[in-house]
Amino acid sequence: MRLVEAGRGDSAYTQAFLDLLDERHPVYDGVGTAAVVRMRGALLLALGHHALPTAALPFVLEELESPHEAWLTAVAARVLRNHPEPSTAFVAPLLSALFYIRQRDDTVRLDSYGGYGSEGEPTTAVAEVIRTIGWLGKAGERVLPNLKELRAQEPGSRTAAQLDEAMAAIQHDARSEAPEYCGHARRFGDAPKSAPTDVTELVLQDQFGELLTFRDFFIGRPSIVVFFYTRCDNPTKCPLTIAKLGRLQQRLHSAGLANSIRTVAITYDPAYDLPPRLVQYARSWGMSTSENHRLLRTVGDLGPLRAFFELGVNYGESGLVNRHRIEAFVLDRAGRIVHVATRQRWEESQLLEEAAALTGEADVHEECREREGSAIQTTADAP
Amino acid sequence: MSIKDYRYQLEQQVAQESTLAEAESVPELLGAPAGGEGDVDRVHNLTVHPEASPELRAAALGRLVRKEDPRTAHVAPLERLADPNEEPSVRLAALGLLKMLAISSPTFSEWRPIFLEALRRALSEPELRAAALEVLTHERDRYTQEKLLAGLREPDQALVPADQALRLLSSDPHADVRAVARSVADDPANEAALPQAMKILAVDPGSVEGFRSLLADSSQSISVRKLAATLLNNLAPELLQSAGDQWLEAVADDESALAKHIGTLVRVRREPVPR
Repeated sequence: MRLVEAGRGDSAYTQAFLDLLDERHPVYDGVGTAAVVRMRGALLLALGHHALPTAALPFVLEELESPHEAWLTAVAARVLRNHPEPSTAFVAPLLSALFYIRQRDDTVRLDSYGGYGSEGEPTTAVAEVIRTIGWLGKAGERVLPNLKELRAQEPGSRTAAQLDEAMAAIQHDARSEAPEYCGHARRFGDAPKSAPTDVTELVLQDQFGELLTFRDFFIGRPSIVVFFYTRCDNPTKCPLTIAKLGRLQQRLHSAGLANSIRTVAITYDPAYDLPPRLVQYARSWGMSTSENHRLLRTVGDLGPLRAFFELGVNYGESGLVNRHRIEAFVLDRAGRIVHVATRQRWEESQLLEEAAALTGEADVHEECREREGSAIQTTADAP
Repeated sequence: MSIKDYRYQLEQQVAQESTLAEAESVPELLGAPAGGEGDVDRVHNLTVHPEASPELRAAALGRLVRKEDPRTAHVAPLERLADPNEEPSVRLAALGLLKMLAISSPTFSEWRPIFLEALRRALSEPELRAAALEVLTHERDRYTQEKLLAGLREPDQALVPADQALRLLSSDPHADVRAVARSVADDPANEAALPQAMKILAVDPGSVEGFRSLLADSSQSISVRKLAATLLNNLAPELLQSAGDQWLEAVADDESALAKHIGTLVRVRREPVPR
């Protein structure tokens, strides 16, 4: 952390800090969850000390969209205000932060490492998020109805005053047009560029205990793959991922593609997530299972799959996941990764469209677009 | 809040109401006549009145909370809890009221940060510590978890004995307590610490061997061995089968011991993992 102190606000350290935010970085190996939170918060604060670089936005927006720790959420909201321009792309992650972190809000001090201590003024995650929503100004116009609705619920006098201030800042922003952040519109990434690990003979086990190889399941039809683990305690990550996969399955079914595209959820925690737990988790969060739609665990080490998918996950000393990003993949009929959605919430219609294109069935595109028009947009565009 | 806690709170309320009834005959303490709009003010005055006993002020706090607007009912008890110069018994009563309000108050999400802060400060007061720890660990407070872990590693810093710390930490799998639980299981600080450490390791696939050896260790108490069997059944049922067979073989010549062990294994296989 001395490196972080030394490089705070210095653009020469930007790349080093961004590299350190990658969950795969060895700095997270064997470290406890609380230490991971402290390290990532310190890195975000250092990156956003003066002007938050655009390259850091995915990490900042991820913390807002999937908030779990009040300190990290407060830090993310605070450093976002140091981005040179507000953008409409920040609206949805900020709203998500406001909605979820209210239940886990806490007093934090941004100047204290880890958020607790006596250095600096006390603040809360909610206060920082609302302040940042106000900073959006014109770019935050879309959020006014949500703020008014929250205000009408009488959330408490302090929150009400903060909301009033944010709404006034948005309404009185003199700028004529909401500035756009163009570099933020691309949610999907390309497949990993490194040479793929050969996993074709890797043995997997499904939710009913059936053993199969990677080749058995992934070769022959395109598939949509997400990762999760049943002990994840962030409701905006694994439970939401499985619930969204369940909704995506319904759309596949409606489009007549349930037998053409496979869906699979693979656990990061194969030693603990035994078949009965996988079955229960699928039931709890609304994912259907059948021959083409399964939850899987590796029978042995997750290492080969971790390398194949370049998974953004790491583990504490006890072997439990200490940090992971949201990640979804589309694989072609040959089991090759062709599309990757990482860090921020993926949209069902996009994954569906990407996978449907691989089946050669063009009609699904129209179905997707129709549904997209009526879908409630809850997430921002991501890179 | 458990049914036991709820019943306790109700009993406290009944006791407080009798204390207050006695106070009704001391108008100088109440400062205003009973009934009417001034009633809330008069009870509020009593909560901080320098001449009122701690019992009476705690009782007044309870009545105040029941009379106040639910949106602001937390304010007075929160002030009492956060005041380090307040009597511990009044702070404890305030804490009990705030626990109930955390469920019922429509503005809890707003005052949660101040509540947690007040609870963290209350950890330094021995009379409040246990109650504050229960709430803080229930809320999965990172600061508290780290304090408890530090106490397990360095007993001279411990807020509570090892078995209590382990129990409090056991509700959060991300509390990073497993490594410490393993050391406690290897060398328990007291008799109660071993079962608590085992319960934490209940979700640790790496502890299967440890449970198997505890199950086979005849020097351990029956309750520890039974717990080991239950946890083994949860993590690796197939291993419990073989371990159980060995166990039964060892006592095969003693019919009464055999019957007892079979009974235990049958129960273990039916039972959920203890928390």
